[in-house]
Amino acid sequence: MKPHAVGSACQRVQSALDEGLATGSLSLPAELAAHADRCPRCGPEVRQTESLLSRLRGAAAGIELGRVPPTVDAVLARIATESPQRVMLVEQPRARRVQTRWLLGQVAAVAAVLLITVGGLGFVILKVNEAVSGVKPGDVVSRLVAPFRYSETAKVEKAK
Amino acid sequence: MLPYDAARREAFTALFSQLSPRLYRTALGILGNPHDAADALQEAGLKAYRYFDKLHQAEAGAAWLTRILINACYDTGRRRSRTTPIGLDVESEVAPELPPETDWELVQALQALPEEQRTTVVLRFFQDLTIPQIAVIMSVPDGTVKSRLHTALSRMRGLLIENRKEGVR
Repeated sequence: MKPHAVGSACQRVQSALDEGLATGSLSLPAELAAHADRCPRCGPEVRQTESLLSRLRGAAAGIELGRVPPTVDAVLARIATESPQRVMLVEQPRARRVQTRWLLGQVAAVAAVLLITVGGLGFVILKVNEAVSGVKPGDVVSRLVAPFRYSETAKVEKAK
Repeated sequence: MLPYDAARREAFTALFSQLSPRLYRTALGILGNPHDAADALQEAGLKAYRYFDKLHQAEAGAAWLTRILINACYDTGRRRSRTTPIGLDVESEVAPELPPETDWELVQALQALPEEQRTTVVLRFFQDLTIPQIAVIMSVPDGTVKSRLHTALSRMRGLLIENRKEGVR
């Protein structure tokens, strides 16, 4: 098939067809409509597009609405008897939120158990140490912290 | 019951009753099946009632409800695709529910489109919305709506031409 000549009637029909497809409404000026009637290339394309748009408009009008009233009645009956929150609670249980809450609970419980275990163990170790070597728990902690304290002091002195 | 609840229910009932025929047409166009369309409409109605407080402007009610319905249609469509065996003849299943003059060829061509293109065509022709109105509902620029509509209608036109050729053969 030959390409449409630039600025030709064929090209203008093509532009109008593109616009018609993009907006869902086709209206050709009289001169282009007359051209489309004669042109073996534009004619079928214009007729097919017009037919499609007309069938689409007709399809909406032809849809039976018999099932709408029962559906609407079902929704209205449901909301007439229940609160807004309840309406959807029954429809869609919020499984994901429950799962997240459960997971957070589990993590918090494990963290609490670990904290208590570590604290208790530390306390027992310090007490055993006190019984064996006679060093008080406070002194052991001071000795453990001493290097950090020393480095801080050294930094201050160096700065001076 | 609190007076607020009664007023809220009354306002919602008026809005939903008024828009439901248009909404049903839209659902039917997107899903191509009266059973699914009724389910989607019901689901959308209940969801809209739950979040009715979030609708601050009454004039935006139609667009708001349509957006909820479109999402309900997508959910229903996905559920159906998970449960419907491949190759099941949908047309024969729904035929008794639709009037005999239904343009089946057109319905099939519409169903062959991707979700967003199909929705754009349905909103344009089944709800008779303008390009800017569709853009607001679908939360996309006007240009995207035009591009989707162009692609969708070109594809439908091509499919209908193919069908006619096959029919002639």
